[in-house]
Amino acid sequence: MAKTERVYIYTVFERFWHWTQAILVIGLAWTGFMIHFGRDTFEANPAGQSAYVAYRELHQNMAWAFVVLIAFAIFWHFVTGEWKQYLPTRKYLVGMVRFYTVGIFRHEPHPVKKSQISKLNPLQRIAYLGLKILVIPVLVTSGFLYFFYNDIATGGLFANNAMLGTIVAVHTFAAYLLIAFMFGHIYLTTTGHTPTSNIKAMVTGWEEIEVDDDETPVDAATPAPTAT
Amino acid sequence: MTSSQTEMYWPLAHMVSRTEDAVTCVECHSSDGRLKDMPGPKLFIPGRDSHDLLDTIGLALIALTILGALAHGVLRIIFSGRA
Repeated sequence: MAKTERVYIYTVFERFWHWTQAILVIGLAWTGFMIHFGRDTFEANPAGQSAYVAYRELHQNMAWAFVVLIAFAIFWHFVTGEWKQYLPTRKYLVGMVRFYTVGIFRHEPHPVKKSQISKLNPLQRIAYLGLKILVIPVLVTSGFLYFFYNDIATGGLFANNAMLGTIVAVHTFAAYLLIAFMFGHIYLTTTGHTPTSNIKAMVTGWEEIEVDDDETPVDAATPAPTAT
Repeated sequence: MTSSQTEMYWPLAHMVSRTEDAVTCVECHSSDGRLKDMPGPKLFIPGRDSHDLLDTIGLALIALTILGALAHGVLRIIFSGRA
């Protein structure tokens, strides 16, 4: 068994942000798909309402909560300078691809050492940055356009109602991307030192990490662990 | 020349239906609703119209991700016995 050490990786805010976001994304996906696929199955109750109305309201409330959470997260990332964690790097990129395709089956050590200064491997940096600057902004923007569609259309911005179809398509496609990411993300949590060490770290903040003399932090500015 | 004088009669309820006759969302927002024969594509009604190809691609993307993860996980378990 390789030598391990316990390292404090995730601060209280990061863990709160991560799990609140997880609950909201799962809730939004669930209500979104009920609205998307389940509408024909909803029967109107005697009050003249259908479950569709409840799902729509739940979806909208969770969307507002998500927007508030995003505002806090953006503030936190810039105040703490933690946004730098997401800067893409080619260093160890090939090594990470090799690790997931070959090394992990041969019990080779993880090529990138995780530390509080550098939490994300190069593949995580690309994936999370893509979510933050592309998928989630597209989801939020198209969601707002959908929500305020009538007001915007009354203002004469759209030539005809076909624009609504485009907004719906964009919103739905971005949702598929986020959900596909989520399944891959959950699976990849099992690739840490033990199958649960990554999830434990996101709960407690502390992660069990293998110590190996060959490992170097992904961030060149971080001092490499000294060989003994 | 002046416009002709007209008179108009409104029902007392201003043509608003009684509760039990009220129109619910899904009466139009469904594939077999009141507006099912209104021509597209300039009119998009959520619940009536959908993007079938997009749904196929999106669901396939999710399915492939799950299958890929399962396959990778099974391979890890198989190789975990070997040094």
